[in-house]
Amino acid sequence: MNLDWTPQEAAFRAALRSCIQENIRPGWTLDDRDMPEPEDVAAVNAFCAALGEQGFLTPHWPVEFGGRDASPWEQLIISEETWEVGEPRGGQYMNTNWIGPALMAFGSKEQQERFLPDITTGQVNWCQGFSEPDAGSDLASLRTRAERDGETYIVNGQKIWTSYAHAAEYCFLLTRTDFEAKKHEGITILLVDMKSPGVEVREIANPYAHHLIHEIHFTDVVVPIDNRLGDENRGWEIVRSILANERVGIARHVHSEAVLDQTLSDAARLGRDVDDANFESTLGMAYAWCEAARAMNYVAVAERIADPLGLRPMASVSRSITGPMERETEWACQSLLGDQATEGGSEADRQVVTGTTSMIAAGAYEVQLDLIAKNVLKLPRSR
Amino acid sequence: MDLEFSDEQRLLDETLASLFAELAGPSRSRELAGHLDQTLLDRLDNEGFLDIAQETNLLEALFLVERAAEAVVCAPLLGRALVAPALGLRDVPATIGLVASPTSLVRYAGECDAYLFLDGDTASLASRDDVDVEPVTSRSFYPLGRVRAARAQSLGEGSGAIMRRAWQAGIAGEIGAMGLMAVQFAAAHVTDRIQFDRPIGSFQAVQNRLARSYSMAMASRWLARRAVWHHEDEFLSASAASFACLSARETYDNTHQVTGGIGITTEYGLVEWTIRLLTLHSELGGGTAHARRVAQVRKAHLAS
Repeated sequence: MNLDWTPQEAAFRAALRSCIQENIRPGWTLDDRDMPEPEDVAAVNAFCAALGEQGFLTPHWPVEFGGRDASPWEQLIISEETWEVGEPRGGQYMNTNWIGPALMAFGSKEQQERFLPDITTGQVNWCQGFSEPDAGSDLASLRTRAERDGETYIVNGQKIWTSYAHAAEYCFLLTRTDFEAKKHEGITILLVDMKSPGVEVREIANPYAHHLIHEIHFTDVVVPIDNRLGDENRGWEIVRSILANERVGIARHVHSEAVLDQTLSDAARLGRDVDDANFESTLGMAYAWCEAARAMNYVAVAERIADPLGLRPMASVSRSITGPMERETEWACQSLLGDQATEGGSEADRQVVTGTTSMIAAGAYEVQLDLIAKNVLKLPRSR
Repeated sequence: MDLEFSDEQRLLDETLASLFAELAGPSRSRELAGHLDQTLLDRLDNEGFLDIAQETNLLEALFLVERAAEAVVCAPLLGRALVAPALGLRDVPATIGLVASPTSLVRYAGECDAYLFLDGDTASLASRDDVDVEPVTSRSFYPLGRVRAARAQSLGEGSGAIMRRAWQAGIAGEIGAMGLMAVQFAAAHVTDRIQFDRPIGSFQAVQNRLARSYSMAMASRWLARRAVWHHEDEFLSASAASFACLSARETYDNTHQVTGGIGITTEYGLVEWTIRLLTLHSELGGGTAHARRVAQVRKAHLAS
């Protein structure tokens, strides 16, 4: 056990930080991560292209796919450094964290050659077509239909709560192809060109952020059979692998600590008594949550290294700390700044968005607890 | 970064687990009524475990503290195995109590050979012959009392900060270990206990309570390990203690809630961990004091 960064990891972080500073759009904030404006999409693509060019986008990928077989620790360092400055990779973090790895593990050679180069060069945005109106936390209940028609699938259905859909060139789409099978069977993954006729993206209005969440409607969308990932009806096995990767190594703790630092600064500027006992205990507890999230994030990465194909329950443990951390940070900001926290554009105000969504996105908090109960505590199944 | 045990660490951990399985545990704790387990202490001393930090580093000492907490070992190992070596003390007695202030309650008060006193920026060491002990009654399974020094040896400027950091990390390590055991204990109960024609552990409300406690206890464990490794960083040690205190409270509430009446009985045994969690939760000023230290350290850092 060695809890220091190695000299190589430290050097990697320093070089990455320099690259980020050179290429991030000035004034970038976490608000921009959702890429609400076309220029934000362009900024994300330019930033990721620069990272890719300098070897900082997918270093943890195998050499044959454009990486250099770096350890997942470098992947985590990338996340820490990008989250520190508001995640200027936008939605492309998904490409490198799990969409690319899913293509490497389950894709055909032709699919790998077609899709991976654009990811390694930061030229493409993907979205994940997972949740549906009647399949949220119970993802396997999805009903979007993909019916075989010769060498194509005809897709009809609706996805919801989708991030980045408005900016995506492709959708990693979960569909149902066997309507008689048990719900975890009969699922097939299709890689859908978002420019296909019949694909319609609608933004869902909300008081939090522009282009935060979307619906995607599929009406008789024709998807070539060559765009199927893995075998027909065997998609759930891929999904399980994806979800574990999706839950690992997103360094939200770094951003939350930065938000608290800024809130402390804002409070002092506004004349609040930052030495007051209640102020200090509220602030300190929020920082402690951040460090707890950091610690478990590291444990989840170590678990991924040690047991890449296992159930990896520490990924769920990590998520079950990170979600509440975002909420604790949010409420700490509200408490420390009072009414000033609601002024638009402040870090405290932005944290409302992150605090609200982190507990419900990418597998709700309760789903993570269910997985811990099942995979760690071995508690009896509820049904 | 490498979070896996080395071969030596794994051997140490397995040896400790085996030793405590043989000589400690809830039954032994009940037999001793929480008082000092001299037999086990002698064994640990003779086999060099009390000096593990001198042989290796503070992290290995924390592993000892964690395993001892799991097995509810009746001995003040935190002071002797972790805090004293962090202060650079050698050739010290086998039992050292930790004193936060003249009014604070001290674990194993009256049963230790020496005491480390925290007084602002300075720590000091006093032998049992140079202290007055005022025992107090408590439902805690630790013998508690107030300890005041008539005479003590100052360990120098800055030693107080070192003592506080090691103590904070140790509290977190103990809470993490005890929390994980309490959750495991409660999980066994809800798996076997049938109500409404099904195991109560199959209800999501029950599962989620225990899963949340498990996550928080595991985070406390790793916070403690990071704090001990980076033992000069009070932001980490105070964060570890703050979070661990919250974890202790949640674990106490959740494990008792799901085990019901049987959970609060002596015979069943859950209280061996949870009552101790209450004591740890309030030690060294408790969660609020730890959290304030986190904020104070951060403010100082940002101002520098």
